[in-house]
Amino acid sequence: MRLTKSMGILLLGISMAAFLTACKSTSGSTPGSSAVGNSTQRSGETGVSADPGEVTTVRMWSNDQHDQAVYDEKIKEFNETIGKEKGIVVEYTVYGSDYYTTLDVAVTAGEGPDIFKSNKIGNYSKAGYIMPWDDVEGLKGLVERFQQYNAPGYGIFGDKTYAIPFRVTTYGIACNMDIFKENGLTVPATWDEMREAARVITESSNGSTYGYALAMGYSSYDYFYVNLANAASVGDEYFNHATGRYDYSSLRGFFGHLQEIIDDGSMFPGFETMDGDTARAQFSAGNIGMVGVLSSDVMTFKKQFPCNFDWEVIPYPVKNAENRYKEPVGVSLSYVINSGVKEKGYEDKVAEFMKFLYSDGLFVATNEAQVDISILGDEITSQSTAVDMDPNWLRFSDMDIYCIKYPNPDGELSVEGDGFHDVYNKILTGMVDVDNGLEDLTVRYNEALDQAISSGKVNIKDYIDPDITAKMKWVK
Amino acid sequence: MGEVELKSALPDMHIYLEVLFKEVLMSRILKRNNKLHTGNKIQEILMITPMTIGFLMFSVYPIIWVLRWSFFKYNGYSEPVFIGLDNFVRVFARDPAYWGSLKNTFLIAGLKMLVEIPLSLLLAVFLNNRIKGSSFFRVVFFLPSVFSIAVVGLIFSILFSAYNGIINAALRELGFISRNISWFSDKGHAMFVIILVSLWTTFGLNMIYFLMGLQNISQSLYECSAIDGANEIQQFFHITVPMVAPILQLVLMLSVLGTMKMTDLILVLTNGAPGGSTEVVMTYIFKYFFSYGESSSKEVQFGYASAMAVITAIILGIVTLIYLKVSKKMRSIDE
Repeated sequence: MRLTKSMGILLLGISMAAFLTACKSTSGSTPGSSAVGNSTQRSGETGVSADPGEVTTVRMWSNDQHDQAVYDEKIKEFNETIGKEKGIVVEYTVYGSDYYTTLDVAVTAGEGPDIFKSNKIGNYSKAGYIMPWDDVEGLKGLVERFQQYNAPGYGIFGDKTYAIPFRVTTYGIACNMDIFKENGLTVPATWDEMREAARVITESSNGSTYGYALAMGYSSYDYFYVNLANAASVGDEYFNHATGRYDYSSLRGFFGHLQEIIDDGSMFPGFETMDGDTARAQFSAGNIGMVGVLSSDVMTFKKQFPCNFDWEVIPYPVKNAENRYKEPVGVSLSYVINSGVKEKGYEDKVAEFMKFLYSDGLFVATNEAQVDISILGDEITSQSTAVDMDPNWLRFSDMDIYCIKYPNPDGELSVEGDGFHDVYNKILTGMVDVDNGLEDLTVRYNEALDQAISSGKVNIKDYIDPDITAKMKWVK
Repeated sequence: MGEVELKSALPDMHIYLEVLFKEVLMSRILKRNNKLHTGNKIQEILMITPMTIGFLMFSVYPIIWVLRWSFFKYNGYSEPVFIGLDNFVRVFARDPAYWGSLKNTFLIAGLKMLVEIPLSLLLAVFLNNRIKGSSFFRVVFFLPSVFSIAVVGLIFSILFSAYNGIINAALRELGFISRNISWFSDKGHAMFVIILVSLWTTFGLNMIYFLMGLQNISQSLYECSAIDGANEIQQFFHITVPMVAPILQLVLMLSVLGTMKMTDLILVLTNGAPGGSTEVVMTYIFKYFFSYGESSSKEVQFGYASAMAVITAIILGIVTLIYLKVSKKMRSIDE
């Protein structure tokens, strides 16, 4: 009896101890546990050799692994110079593929970092999780400097600026020049030339090399290698910025162009589920003649998947070379500031760091490291003193062939059923007829747009750009 | 007279004392038992407390959470909007993709079961005979059950790769195909691979269940039937199958429910591709609950996902009830 009682008490004790230990370790290890506003500490505790006084720790999160080395170096420089002088220490954390899930949990729990890269600026601003920049004296200069690149839907929501665009990701088609030379080919400028080049490469290799790889397993393939690629031929995206209506029928010709390559057997086998890294790996192994690439791939093909052959990036070929447009390019996701910063009263310290984050010095450093293209274009590249820059990086950085595109209202719509990504997948795998699929998309997206306009969620004037034709005009 | 009365009264007194003694004894025993019972009760409560806390936190609370949000339009960060039954109406009236994914789930469960159950039972019967090397094969067949699904999915996606995949190479070498098959580019081929891989990971475990059932069948039944002239096939259908019926009922139910809850294998192997044609009901709901990796094209919709989860749970419950009703006869060997 005594034994059983003792055992019971022991069991309860163990469970309680385990429970309490778990709670303790959780609260101690959560990244966000130092919470917004709890970030003021004595300088001696941070290891900063500053005069006795208070140091504010500013936490910044992102998922940018490609430029982490440059950012780590520059932030260290900030902490040792401006930060030391003004009592600011920046802690920069880079997350992996689970970044946005981690961020959502932290932000909604009130434990988000002070500065973070966001893919839901509109939603977060409406929910009050992030603060507008217009009211902070130290940020007004930045808002004004980047105003010409900002727009409703990018960093402006409800007439307030919550973020400023600062860099772009450009894209193109990488050509294996060794394969092109072996087959006596020149880089294609039109869809027909691309199809022909893909066919010749595939046929001459007897099944070991394929002409083109559209990696449909890559989540943004539809954005870079369908929507934007098509816009260089037709002058706008599926959302017509002149009329303010959706028109997916403008993609009919482009899907025909892709279908021809598929029907020729020139598309890399398994492209339907191939992810971006697999496509890059196969290209670097010399098994693909042409593949879609992003500006960040310049370093990828040097370090991650080194190419032991010459490769050259070209703009995505167009339907008619005599009547082509610039390639639209969207701004990359921007940093936002947690509204808790203002509540706790250290927005001036955060503003001080934001000025450094958006400074020419940092833009030049990332450009010279060939990891980021500043939205300021020539203003930054002209300051660069680096020699031996990769010619492909220079091609990617040439903003004359790109047009910074106007945002689309997609993110503000509640579209039921398959989104355009799913419908594109179905068209390219033969599950849906191209005309029916595009017509269905046009109808459903316009219905959702009308609902969003009538409910006041979308102000269509924010998405209409009367100068779109002039902006897209090819001037090279 | 008084002596007589006393003598006659003595046995009564004896009985009385005996009864009294028994009562006292019984009351003491009962008291002791009550104490014992009370002590046991405390111990029982203490022992089930951790499990109960876990059950309440990880089963009851999520169920209440899902039921509550199924009546809201909510994405996790915006203000939740009560929309009544609209999420349920959307599932039934405006979302054919959900029913497509449910159809795929039943298709995979049905086709898999058709192969898996006979295969597991036959292998169990063979391995139950003490032939040389049977222990080795038991381990080999059971081994896939303990592998991580993520690893299995990755290995099979490499095996079935359209470019330089071993399966394509073997089929070409044997002359069955002249051009590589793109196994994940159309629904038919992709479903074939999914069923095959799913089968490979579970048949070993079911074989072990059947082996346990077979080992409980008395040898005398076979000996008697052999004397009566029954051959091995007759013994299999008239003794083995009826005797393992309770196990068969369990295995069938586990197989159907396991397949209907299949999530990880689909996410690793096809992630619903091509064009969502291999999506099963759990992956479909999962993608509305969580933004899965970078390949997700769906916006997180907790409310709608909750409504789909409730409907799916009801459907699975109905399927289980029907199955238990239909297979009632299998529950007892005597019946």
